[in-house]
Amino acid sequence: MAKSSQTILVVCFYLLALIALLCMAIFFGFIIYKGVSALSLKLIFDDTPMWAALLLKARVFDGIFNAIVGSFLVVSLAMVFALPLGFLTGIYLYLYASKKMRSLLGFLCDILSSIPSIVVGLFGLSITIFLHKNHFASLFPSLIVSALSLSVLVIPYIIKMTDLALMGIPKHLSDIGLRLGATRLQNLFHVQLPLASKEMLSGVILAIGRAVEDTAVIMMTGAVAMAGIPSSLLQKYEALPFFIYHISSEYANKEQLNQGFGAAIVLLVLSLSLFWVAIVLQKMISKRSGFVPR
Amino acid sequence: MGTFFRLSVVASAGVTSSLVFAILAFLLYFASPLFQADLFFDFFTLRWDEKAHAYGLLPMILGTLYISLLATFLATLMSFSLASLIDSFLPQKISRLLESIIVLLCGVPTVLYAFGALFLIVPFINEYIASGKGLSIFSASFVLSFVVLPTMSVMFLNAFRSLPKAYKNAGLSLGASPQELFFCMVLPLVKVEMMGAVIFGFARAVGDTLIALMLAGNALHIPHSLLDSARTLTAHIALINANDYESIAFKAIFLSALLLFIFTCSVVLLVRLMQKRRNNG
Amino acid sequence: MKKFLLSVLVLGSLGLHAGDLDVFKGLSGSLNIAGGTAHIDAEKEAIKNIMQAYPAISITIAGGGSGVGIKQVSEGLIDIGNSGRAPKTDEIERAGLKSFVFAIDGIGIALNPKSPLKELTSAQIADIFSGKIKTFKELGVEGGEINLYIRDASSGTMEVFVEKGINKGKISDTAKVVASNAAMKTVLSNDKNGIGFISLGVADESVKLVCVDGFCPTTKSVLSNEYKISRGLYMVTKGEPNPLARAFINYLKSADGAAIAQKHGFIAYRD
Repeated sequence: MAKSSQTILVVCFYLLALIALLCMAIFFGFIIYKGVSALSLKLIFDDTPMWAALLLKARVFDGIFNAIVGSFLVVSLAMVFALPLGFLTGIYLYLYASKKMRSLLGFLCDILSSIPSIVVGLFGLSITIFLHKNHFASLFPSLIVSALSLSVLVIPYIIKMTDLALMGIPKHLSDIGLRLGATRLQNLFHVQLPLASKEMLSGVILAIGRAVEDTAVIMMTGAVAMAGIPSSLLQKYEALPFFIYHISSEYANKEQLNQGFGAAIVLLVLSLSLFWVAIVLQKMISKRSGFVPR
Repeated sequence: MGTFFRLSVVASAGVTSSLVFAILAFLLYFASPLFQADLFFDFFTLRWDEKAHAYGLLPMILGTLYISLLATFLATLMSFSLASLIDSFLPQKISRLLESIIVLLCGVPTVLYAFGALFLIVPFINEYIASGKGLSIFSASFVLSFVVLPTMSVMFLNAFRSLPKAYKNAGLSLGASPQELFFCMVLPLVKVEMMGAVIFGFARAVGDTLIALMLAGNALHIPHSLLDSARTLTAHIALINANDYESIAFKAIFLSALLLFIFTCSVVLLVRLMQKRRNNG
Repeated sequence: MKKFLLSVLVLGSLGLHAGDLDVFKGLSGSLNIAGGTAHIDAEKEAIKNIMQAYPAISITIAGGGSGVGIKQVSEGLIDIGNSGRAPKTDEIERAGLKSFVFAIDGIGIALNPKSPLKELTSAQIADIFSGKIKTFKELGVEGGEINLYIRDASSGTMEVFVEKGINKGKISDTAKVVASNAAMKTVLSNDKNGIGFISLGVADESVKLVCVDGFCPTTKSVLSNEYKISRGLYMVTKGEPNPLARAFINYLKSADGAAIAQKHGFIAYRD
């Protein structure tokens, strides 16, 4: 390639990058400008006294407190299902799987992680309706259904991160226990897992981030516009991303719209801090490249 | 203890790997009433109108293709530029800062982009570019391109960096400039990785629901221009989900989901094959 | 219809009637509501009153559209389905539905507030939505090409509009589809060439409502049936409502409920 055409291309790179950054800057400036002015305790708790709400002594109605609690509940619950399955499968891949099995499981894992989340939501919804009609009349789209569907969404991340973390241990450290006469299992628990723990933790945090922001799954499986704080797993709930979606399509006045922007800021800060912690953890482990989020 | 652990490990692997099959089986089960020859091909016609019992999915398939192709195109241009600059052309300090920003942007929730754009870009287009075309293929693709941009940039960067350091050092010691090095050595050697990044971006664009649902207008016709409104398969699922569970319309969304599923599988397969061929060749 | 409308009560006062919440005395548990998007704000306020007074009761509400409300209540997935149209005969028969009207709502033909257009005839409306009339020039006012906005198939507002607004006429497939009454308001307030239709309860100064065949949409013209595009706001249950659902319906039909309905721009209806 001629040198002059290379230079032209580089100029194009600068132009395109500038356009991209400028658009991003305007966009986030707009969200932050709108959102920060909406931020207040009233946005979260409305008229309910803060401590009474936090201790669940009084109900919040027009604030986003319920949505924050709902998101927290559904994500924690999803992690309760996803973590053991994901970790153990990751360990299987690393420790026991034959080469063929490895490539097959890796393939399935890749597919699972790239299935559109609305399809996962539809899967959760249709199973629920199916079970409701045929076996469990008391099962409705609810907290537990959302949590299970969300866990389907994040399991592949946890598997991948566990496997990568274990694979990433330098060979001479990884086998140290074996050479000292430990069994494979002892080596796993006393040498390999501790060595991989930070990277695994960062994988978990990324998975949490993915679960927090997902909207398509929860809108199919039980998130509603107003629910209060759910008192059982079979109840419907509110969630932050769904709240933002709901406001965008059904806001009735300026105040509600402002609430939407306020909620957007809260969700943004929440997701970014989760993500940031994950990145810092990754950096602490090594300067190894190859880190692809999502 | 050992056997118990091993058992639970194998069992978990069994459960997680069967998830894919479970999803496929359920989609097939719910869509199965539609697999009758006289009915089946009706789904690949140009009109969806429940009142007239027309259930053509082609408008949605085309909508999905237009929106995600355009989004991938825009995102590729921007993220490729960003990644190249970071890799080879910017001073180290700036490039580090830019890289951190982009990595952090990967964590921004999708619903935020859709929400912000609804109150920023849509009114802007309505007011200054084309009145009433705010909800259109263009808005959706434009915003979607920013959703996939951070991740695609990181993938491009990883592609550029997948070359052994020694290659670069050799080039530099032969007197090549960073510019020559980038165009003449790096780019030709990481073609496959770059293709992977583009395909990945496309798959994410196809799988996204909220951007198209909130910004593309969801009209049920064959779009003719960038400023036309369109409906994607994912948005179609979200909208028709509201329907009668016994109706053909509701069953048809399982066909939409099945199409998305097949698409996903083929993309993953394609990327795998590309990697394999490269590794062998 | 006349008789039905004669029984409509318009309430002037907005004061809360302390006794009306008593219907919930001794009740507890959860009640799930979903469906029509026009109902949501009014019902949210009612729910707030109820849940504040009776902490043992929890009520959830979701949107989705009237079709969702009727379908989910028929499946037994929710306790009360909101609907902006009467349930159809086959729907009633299939699941044994019962419906209760708590308010009357008009559907306005809505435009951007900047639009100079003030009045339309039913025939013009039908032609606009079928795509026969494509520009504002053809309607005799300034402006460019018309952008149509409609609702998705599960919307009750849409069904009533198709039936009474355009006499079951065809709708052009270039019309853009939005998911709720409020979303309709947002798009119309952003599009100076837009035309759509909207629940009168949801409409505010961000959209402009046109008069149809010489009658502007007001409480009076809706009640007298001079303004023809109107409907009841229904709450639908599968069979007899359970005690909590019963209490909720009674509350919305009480003086308190009527005051809430009116505050949200509807015409209260108590039988």
